[in-house]
Amino acid sequence: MSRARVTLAFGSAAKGFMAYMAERRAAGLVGEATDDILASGAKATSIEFLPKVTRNSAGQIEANITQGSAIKTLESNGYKKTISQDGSVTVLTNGEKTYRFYPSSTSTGQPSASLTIDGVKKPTAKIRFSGE
Amino acid sequence: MAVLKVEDKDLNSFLDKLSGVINFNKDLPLNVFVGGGFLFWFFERPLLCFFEIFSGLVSNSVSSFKSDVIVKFSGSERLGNSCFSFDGSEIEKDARWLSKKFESFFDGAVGYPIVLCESACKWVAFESAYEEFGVVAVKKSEIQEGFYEYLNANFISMDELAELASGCTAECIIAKALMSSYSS
Repeated sequence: MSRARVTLAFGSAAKGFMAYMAERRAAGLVGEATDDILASGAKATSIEFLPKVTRNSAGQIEANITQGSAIKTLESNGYKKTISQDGSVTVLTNGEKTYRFYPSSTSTGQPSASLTIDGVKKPTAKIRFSGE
Repeated sequence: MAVLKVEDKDLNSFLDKLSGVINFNKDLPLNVFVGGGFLFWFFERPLLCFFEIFSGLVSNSVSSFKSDVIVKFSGSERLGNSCFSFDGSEIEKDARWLSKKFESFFDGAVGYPIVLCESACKWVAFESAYEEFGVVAVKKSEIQEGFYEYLNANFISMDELAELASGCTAECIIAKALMSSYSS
């Protein structure tokens, strides 16, 4: 796993310095966050950083763990859990980081999560879970 | 604050209007909009967390249509704290407030689907928990030049969706599913 590769996904030469610094900070936090998710210790896991897809895409991460194990790991790391009123989305928050865990997409069949960080004006990462 | 809670009779009236535009028995990637005559754009979820795009959408809508923008959580359910009206006058502050409340779904009081629209439903955006992309539908007869340009500059057009659909990534699968429902 390389945090540098995450940083590259946010390449922003044309952006203002403040925005660039905010993204650099966010990229660093993505590394910490993925470490959080993968810190289950029980099984070998891997993640893959993919290029952004649309002009507004967050950094794309493919993780070969289940969504359930990621939620458990974050809870054990002190994240506070909230569930949306319809029961579809689980939110885990700790300090400036918020993960939203979505159920499987109807078209892809794959569950996902978004990571947002206070002070950063768009989601920092999209994570898709491929574990079974 | 330039955001107002929509409740009681106003909420009932709004939901009656919305039911003429969205079929809440359907979900994405199916076409959830009732009738024809729409132009479509697409966006990545969660729209409320794309702070500048959401703020810009509200500002451009208010200036183009001269009316408020409504954000409704929990689809057509008549829940307190599920519907808010924005007049755009303090949009940065209001967007930060909504984004913070959305962080916990108002402490679990509201949920998906999320609808954003112009108060007369001249345009309507629908975001589902079950699809990674959401859809904006604009009535062709009501389109305004400035709003059209904003959508083209910040959202995924039908042509861009067609390009996305040509590969084999997860986004391609999503784009193909949406194309089959929304391309005429």
